Amino acid sequence: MQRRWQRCCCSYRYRYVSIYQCLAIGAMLARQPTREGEVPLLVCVLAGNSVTSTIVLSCLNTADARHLRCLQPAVCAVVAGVPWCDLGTHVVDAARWRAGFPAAVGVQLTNRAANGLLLASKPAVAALDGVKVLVLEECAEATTDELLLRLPVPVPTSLDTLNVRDCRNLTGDARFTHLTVLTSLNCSEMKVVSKRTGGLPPSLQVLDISSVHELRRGASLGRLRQLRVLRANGSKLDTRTLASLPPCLEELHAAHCDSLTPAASFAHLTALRLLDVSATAVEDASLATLPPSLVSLNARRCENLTSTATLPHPNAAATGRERHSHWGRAGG
Amino acid sequence: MLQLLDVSDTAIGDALVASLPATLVELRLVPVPGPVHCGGVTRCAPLDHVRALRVLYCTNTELASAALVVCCERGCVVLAASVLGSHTKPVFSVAAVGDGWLASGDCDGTVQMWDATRGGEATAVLEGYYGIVRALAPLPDGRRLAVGVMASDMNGGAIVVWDTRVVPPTRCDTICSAERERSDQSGSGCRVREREWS
Repeated sequence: MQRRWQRCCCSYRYRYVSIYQCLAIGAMLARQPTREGEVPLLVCVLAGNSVTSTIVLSCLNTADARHLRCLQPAVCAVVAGVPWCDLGTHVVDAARWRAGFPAAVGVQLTNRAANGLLLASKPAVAALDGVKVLVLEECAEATTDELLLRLPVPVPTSLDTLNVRDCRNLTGDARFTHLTVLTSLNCSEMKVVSKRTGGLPPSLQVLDISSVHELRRGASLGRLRQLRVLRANGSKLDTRTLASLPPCLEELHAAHCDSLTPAASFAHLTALRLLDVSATAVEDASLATLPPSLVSLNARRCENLTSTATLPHPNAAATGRERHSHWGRAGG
Repeated sequence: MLQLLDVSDTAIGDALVASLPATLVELRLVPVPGPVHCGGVTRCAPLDHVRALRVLYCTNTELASAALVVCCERGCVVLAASVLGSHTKPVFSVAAVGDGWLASGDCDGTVQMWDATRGGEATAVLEGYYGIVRALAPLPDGRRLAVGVMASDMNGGAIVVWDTRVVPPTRCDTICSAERERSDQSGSGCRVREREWS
């Protein structure tokens, strides 16, 4: 049922913007005081049919839902069944949040809510059951290595996306490997991967280590065999770390990475589609290693590029790819 | 295949432009004040093989002149956010007027005349439009140039014909206008400013 809701919401979200606007006005009208006996417009719409109510709900967030619940018991039941993933609302009390949105799958916690988890408060722990998206960047104080390990039992096997950006109390010893289905992790502007990268789960597909200034020299990300997107702008990503990236990588954001040397090679990233190496030390030879799969290249302010720089010829690149795959076979 | 390339503020030269794939859709060569600013790209940089190019961000006048010729030959390439000569706004339309002369129109309603063989400064500026110059079309007589202007609010527009062989260029006719009031306004305010027209 939840999946059907999500699918409906996604399919309508971008197609009917004008309808959204109309219905948003309807939502506004619903909050207006009505004459005695008059049914609020939004209730009429919600009661109309499942398609219109899906459209209405998909353009609202949990803050709107609070008002919706006051309208009518039937609306309250509908709201309870929506898999809300509203990350714009900061949740102070996880237990009350879960009571209001039993089917919600995404939450942004505040320090107070995170403290409840740290104290192993039963209601707070139970509230995170079924959560797939968890944002902790607003509770930098409470987010510690211990909190990560104490995440309630169902969470490690359901959590898909975790954001711990700028959580300065997380140390280089923090581990994420128990989050077995985690595919997206934002640990930018912090120390988590400064000491070692072994704490990252191999299931990761999207990793953000932007502005990690203490990334260990030559740190390997080779364990992340499914990594598709690496955001490392302004980090200490160096040429050895670059060489360790898996060939399935599709996006690499490495702007202002001052540890990238002129010897940086991208030839092994055979699925790379987007590359941002602006303001780095890459030079003409690096351009020659670009894979033929590349669609977008940002080499702005690369001061080592000279007037003799050229892009690899498509045919030459194809030959290079064949050679690379041949080496792969030979190596295997 | 590569579709978007940004090599602004680098010292790349004609060699890189020559190696661009035919699939490239957008090229950015936007320098900022400083010691390095795409200084290696000259007007000889070959762009005609980049068949898919639709957006060119460029403030290098030499390359811009060459690009204009390419644009005219295809008639469909859009030069966006390009500052050519004294254009201060993005160029939206380009046309070959004849005898090596080019016309370029920007989103500020200004049309400039160029000698493509020389490049550099525009030699005549046709001003007075209130909108975006979306289309420039030389008429078959080789003398006149039709200028299609769309209102900034996209609620109307006009097609105005200029005689480009007289000095200075003069306005001949308004073929049609989608909004009378706006057209009248632009007509009364229209003026031609001569710049070394020869």
